[in-house]
Amino acid sequence: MRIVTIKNDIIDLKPVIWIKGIFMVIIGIETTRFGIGIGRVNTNIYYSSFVFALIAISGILVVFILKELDKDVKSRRFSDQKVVITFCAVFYGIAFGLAIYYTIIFNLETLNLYLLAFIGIFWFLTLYYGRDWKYKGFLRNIVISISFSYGLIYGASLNYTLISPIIYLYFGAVFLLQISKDIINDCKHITRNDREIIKSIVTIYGEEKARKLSMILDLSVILFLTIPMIPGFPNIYAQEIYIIIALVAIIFVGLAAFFSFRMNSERKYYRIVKIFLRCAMFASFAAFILANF
Amino acid sequence: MKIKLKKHFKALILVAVLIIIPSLVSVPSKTITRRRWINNLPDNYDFLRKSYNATLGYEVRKNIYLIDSNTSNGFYAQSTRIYLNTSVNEASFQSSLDRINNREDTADFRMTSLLRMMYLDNKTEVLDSTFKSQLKSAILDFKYWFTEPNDDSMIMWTENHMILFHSCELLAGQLYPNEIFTNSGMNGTQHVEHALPLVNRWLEWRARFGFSEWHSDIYFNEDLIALLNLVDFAQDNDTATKAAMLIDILAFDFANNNFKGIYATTNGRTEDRKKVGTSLTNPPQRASHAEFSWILLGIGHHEPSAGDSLSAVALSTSDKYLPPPILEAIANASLDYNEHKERNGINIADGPFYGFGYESEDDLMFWWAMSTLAAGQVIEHTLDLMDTYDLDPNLVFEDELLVDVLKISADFYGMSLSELCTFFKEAAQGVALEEANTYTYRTPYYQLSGAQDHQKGLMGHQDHIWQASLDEYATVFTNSHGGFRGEDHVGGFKPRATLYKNIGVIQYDRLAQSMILELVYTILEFKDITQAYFPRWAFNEVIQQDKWTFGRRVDSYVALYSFNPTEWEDGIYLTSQGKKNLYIVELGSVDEYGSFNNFTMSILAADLQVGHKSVGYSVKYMSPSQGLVKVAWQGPMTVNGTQVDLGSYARFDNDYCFQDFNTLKTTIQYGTMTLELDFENATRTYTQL
Repeated sequence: MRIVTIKNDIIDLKPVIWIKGIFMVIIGIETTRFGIGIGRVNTNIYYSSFVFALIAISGILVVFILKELDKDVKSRRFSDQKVVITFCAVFYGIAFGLAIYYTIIFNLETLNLYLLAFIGIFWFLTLYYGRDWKYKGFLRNIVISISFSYGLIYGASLNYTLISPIIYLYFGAVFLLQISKDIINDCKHITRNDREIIKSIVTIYGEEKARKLSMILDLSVILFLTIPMIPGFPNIYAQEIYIIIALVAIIFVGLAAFFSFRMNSERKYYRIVKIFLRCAMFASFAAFILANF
Repeated sequence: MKIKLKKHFKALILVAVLIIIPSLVSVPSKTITRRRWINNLPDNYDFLRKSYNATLGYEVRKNIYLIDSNTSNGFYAQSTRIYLNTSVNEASFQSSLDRINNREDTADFRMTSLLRMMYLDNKTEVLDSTFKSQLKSAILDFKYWFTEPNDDSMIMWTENHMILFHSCELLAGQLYPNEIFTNSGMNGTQHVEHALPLVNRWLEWRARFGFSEWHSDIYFNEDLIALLNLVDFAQDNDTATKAAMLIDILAFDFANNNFKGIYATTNGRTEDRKKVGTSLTNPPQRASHAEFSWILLGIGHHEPSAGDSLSAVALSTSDKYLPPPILEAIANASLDYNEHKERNGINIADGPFYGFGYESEDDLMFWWAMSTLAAGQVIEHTLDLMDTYDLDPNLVFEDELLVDVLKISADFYGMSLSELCTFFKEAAQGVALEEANTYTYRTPYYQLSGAQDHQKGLMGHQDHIWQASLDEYATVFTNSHGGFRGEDHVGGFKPRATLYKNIGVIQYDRLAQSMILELVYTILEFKDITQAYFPRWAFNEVIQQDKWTFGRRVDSYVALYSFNPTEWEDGIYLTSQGKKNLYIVELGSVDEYGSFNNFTMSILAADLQVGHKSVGYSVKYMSPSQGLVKVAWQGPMTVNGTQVDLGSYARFDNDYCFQDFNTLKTTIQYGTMTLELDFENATRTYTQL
């Protein structure tokens, strides 16, 4: 019984998101590494991966709290939300403290601290004001997505004060892709009971509008993935490789958007769309990595 | 609208804290530890060898060497036997003849010596006629340049190999003008016609630009025998004179860079064995031209067992090369003080300024001689030339795999090979022996020498960027592990070394690279370390405190700072993890500090501020001897606000000679003596008032 509880706790903490977050930090650093000393790049990778994993955990705890708030008091995992909030603050605090230490020791620009401070402020405002907000579900989607995709911007900020446009495009693509996937996921898993309890985009606006929103997000992702294909786009060295793999990602996203648009209420397609979006996410990661391999 | 401040108070506080904290900065405290090692060492090592009076004249030293060489059974020493009209040891020829006949790499070293023997034998007629005809066959069957047909395993295009092959072809052609050389199908006269312009081209390049294999403690030995052969046997007088002048210039280099018996300087090409010693019984090997320096200049010492030295044998058996006395006088006069600046070589990008393109065979020979085979400007033409003459990629690039990696990478990135090699500049240009501005500062107690700000962050092949020397064994230097050559202590990723008198600031870092290149580094097992050679066995006393390591050798002191923590390895190396590190070296002596304790205390008390930068460091060091030293990865080095000259230097700039770079006239003066070397008119004039 206890093992099952621990397993559930771990699943709720979404370790995949932390790992993806670390991955994003590394992509952010690697994409902007040219012109930076190998010593700085290596230390950036070692330290910031750990720092951002803690940030991602704190983000997941924010999501956990928001989700719990949707449930009635009896069915909540923790009766006192302050415990979870404290853990969230501790994880964030350790991450921020380490980032300060790291910034001092390695004489980094303070931009990375401001970016982390921004995350902290966002987490805080989400908990402080979001608990009573009607669109809590959407807020959850955003927090989850930021918890890993923001790693790109954070990673890049460690190398340069002026963050390259390619990073914003990558960030836009994965951020929206994740939200789109979460919306489809919500559509797939929503039950009649959930509709009454959990406040998500699906429950508030209905499946059709949620699907259309997902489709719009998918089309935006395609735009973000396409712009770096412009010949000579800065900060891409293996552009041909990027184009080939990004095209694969675009095809998957395009198929997901098409099915989102055409599936009407046939729920069996949600699974397919989700698989397409997962494949698109994977292909996007591969494109980002190989673009500057 | 009324804002409820109380409700928002917590939010405001947190937001404020998160914004303020990034501005807070503090410096962590340092730990203090002290360790000490003591060795009982003699004040000098003369007891280890048979010593000779340093004031012996050139002719006396030459005769001593001839006597010792005459007892050697080495192949090169057989020239001495022929010169002295004593019978040769025919057995000692066999392995060299095999190498020549099989056209193996370094066969040209042997062929140069063999030709010397044949010329000397024309006078003394020591060689048995049957044996001599066997040697003649080897000469007539040899392949003298890569443009000739048929396979071989010989590297012909580095600076030293080039003059060896050209001089061999010239002298072989002269020796047998009417004989047909079997490999080329040309007769001797035709070989002379082919080789003479190539020899003169090489001589002119060296006169104008110096030696791209700068201060090489291995390959100058090869250059010297080729030059001495030309002096002694070239029928063209101008060529012989120019060769003699280059020998003078090399001797001038030795006088300026030798310290307490060793060639204590930075090197463009060297090997671990020349730099690293593990004990008094297994010290670093001497420079290959050490015996030559001793005979010609009286510096260093002679070892009776070293009778098989290529250049020393050639010098001692030369009747035509007569050293101008000024060189030995300068070697003696500069023993206690010398500040010497010198420039060798040019940058690849500056080729057009000096009249070199990147495409023709002639152009490529200039670039190949300075190991510029894969730089962006030349790679395509290098591969074309290799195709034209069917050259083995394993010889040109040392490993055929490298060519494949380049081609695959170019496809991967969608780049031309030329663009790729520019992108891979760290490795492709790093191995090139570009402009080196070398600086040597000498006092009676120590010498500091290095290549100023040379190709920082690029990966070298066999470079040795700086060295501090207290005596022949107590030397200190650093490197960052790597390099295609596979040496552990030379080559690797080059630092930004900046030197001023007795102080050096050496920063290691390199720009992040393509992952393919990083993958190649991983496959080649490059270690992620920087390391300092600090042989405790060679010092009377070694102390470590904080980040400093101090060494004392009799009355000479060295202090080495490492920004990253260090760990002793075998009591010889101080190893630091990571590719980025900062070293500061300061030298001192009993004259400046009184005691070693005072030296260590002064250095430890000195204010030192080091800041991490995205590449390298920013350093402010208040040196007890020189004042405030400031330097970073980019920009100038300043000492007390005055900018230090890091280059480009003149060809020579010291108390005895100033010569602009890319000029053909060298004038060396000391006291009433003057040596004028005029390469334009091929005149070598020594005057003494």
